[in-house]
Amino acid sequence: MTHSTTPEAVDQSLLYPSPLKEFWQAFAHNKGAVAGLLFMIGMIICALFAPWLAPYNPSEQFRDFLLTPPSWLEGGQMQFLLGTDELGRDMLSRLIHGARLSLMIGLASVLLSMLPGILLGLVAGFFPRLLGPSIMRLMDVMLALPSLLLAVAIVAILGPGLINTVVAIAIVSLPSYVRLTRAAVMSELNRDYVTASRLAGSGLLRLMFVTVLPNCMAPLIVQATLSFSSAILDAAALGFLGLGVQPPTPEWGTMLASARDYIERAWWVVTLPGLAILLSVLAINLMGDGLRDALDPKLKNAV
Amino acid sequence: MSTTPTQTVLTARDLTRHYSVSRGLFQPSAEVRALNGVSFELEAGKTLAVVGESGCGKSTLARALTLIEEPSSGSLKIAGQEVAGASKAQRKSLRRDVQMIFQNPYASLNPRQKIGDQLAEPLLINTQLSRSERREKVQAMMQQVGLRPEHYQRYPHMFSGGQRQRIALARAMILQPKVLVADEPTSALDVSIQAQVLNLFMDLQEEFNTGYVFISHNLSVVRHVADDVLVMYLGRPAEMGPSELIYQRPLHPYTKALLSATPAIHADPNKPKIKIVGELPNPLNPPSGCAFHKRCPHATELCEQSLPELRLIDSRQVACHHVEVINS
Repeated sequence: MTHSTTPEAVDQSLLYPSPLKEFWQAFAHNKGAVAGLLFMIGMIICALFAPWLAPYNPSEQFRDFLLTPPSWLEGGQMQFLLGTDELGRDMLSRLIHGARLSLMIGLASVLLSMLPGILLGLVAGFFPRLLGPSIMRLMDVMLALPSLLLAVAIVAILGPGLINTVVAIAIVSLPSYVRLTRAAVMSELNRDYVTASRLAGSGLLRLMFVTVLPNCMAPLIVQATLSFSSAILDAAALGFLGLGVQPPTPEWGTMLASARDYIERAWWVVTLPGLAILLSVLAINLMGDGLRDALDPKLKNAV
Repeated sequence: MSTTPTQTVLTARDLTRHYSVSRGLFQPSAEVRALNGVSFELEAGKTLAVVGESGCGKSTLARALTLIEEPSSGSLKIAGQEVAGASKAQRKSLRRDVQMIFQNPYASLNPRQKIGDQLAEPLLINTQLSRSERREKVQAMMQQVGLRPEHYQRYPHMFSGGQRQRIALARAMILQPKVLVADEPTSALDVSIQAQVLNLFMDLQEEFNTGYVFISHNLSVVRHVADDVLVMYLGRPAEMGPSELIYQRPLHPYTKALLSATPAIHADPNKPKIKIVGELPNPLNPPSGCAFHKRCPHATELCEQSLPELRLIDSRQVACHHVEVINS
């Protein structure tokens, strides 16, 4: 991508601006998206440097300080900024360590379902005779089962554990990507610009990925950001059933699920992980919105 | 350009295209005869206009000519080479020779691709040019169709309808095809822009010596651009011949009716308006004999029974049993 031509040889206005720079200009336009991005960067830093940032070991139990409220409340301790849970573990440390697993689960399951989902959807849209219907009927079968039941069944087959949880969640959310992609592809395929590209001699791969797919991205980005949150919650549900992440490991969903007995006595034990999930989901949705708008040339200003 | 001997770039013989339409679970599928035996020849640098009302098979013809759809039967030769039975590599090179302009300039450009990329795409796929050579060629073509260099990196939504049609024209002409099929290229444009775009069409034709197949239902536009006219009715040619002849003295009753329906600023009060009643018959269930007999003021029993063949009369071809009687 480097230009070896000298600046005076080529008129500057004819050169493409660097795609990254152009993207950032459009993205920075959206304040909410930038806020979401900053929050997520903070979260990722927490996740990466958890052992150094967290004040305590997340599994260490302080038996004298069971269910201590956050420090600013009556009875709070300065050494436990966000209080402790029912076993006396420091909430702040657990939340920071939990960011690792929760973000990893969300990201991995979104990627694992989105990439095959888009591929299958493209194939289903481009081959409406034979391949398309068979893929779609398979997806219908998957949609016919309740998603949690299907996830439980998959984990039961693969065996409990973190990676199997991610795989199960990815498989469960696959059909929605396939359906969305196929619907978008089918409506785009009838447009004249696809015919024009065919006339220019485009092969199948070029038609799929260069001509049609970029025009189908808007609903997919929204779906990806939404399913990020449901992946975290699904992982929590599986953990609650004893099929996902096992209890001592800090994970937001599992923390939320295991603390629900104390919701009346110690609200922070439930609220704080819930808040962490809520804020991350909000941040990711804001980012997704910004991403979708930044990738849509119609919403960019004229150069 | 006039020194080059006339060369036939496109030959169609009895081109037909039938679609089968399912009418429900327990009924046999029906056949729509969208295109029913169309033959013509197109020479380099000439324009053949195809006219007729909506649903007469004009767009089906365009799709068959551009190899988007296989004709059901008949033969199509591009620059002397038969399309049916051509190998994959041959088809690829043939496809390059026929390009198309679409009716709706808002749908024919990829909204997510910059103009420069869209214009360079045919070159990228079909030639071995380097990146900078491609850009040079695209710039030259853009200048030729009246676009400014800074338009290179803009997106389609930033352009007006007329500009988009110029971009579409540039993309179609950048490979210097032998045939350009234009499917109502000006019907979506303002009248003031139509003339500009049409003149651009003709300038490029002169420059590249391209054969045009110009599909339209705007008869005044056709008169402006066409060398030959093919009038179609329900998938069949009704009358075909040199434009001047047909405009001055239409022979087929359908052509007469079409021409008399063309709005004019100074209408000739002596010239009666021919009204044709009814609608285009259902192509699923075409009338027997001459397809036009149900709406034709001159129809007789013969028209109901037998299909008129194209006959050479007065240096053009007409498909009507009673041409001589009507026009005497």
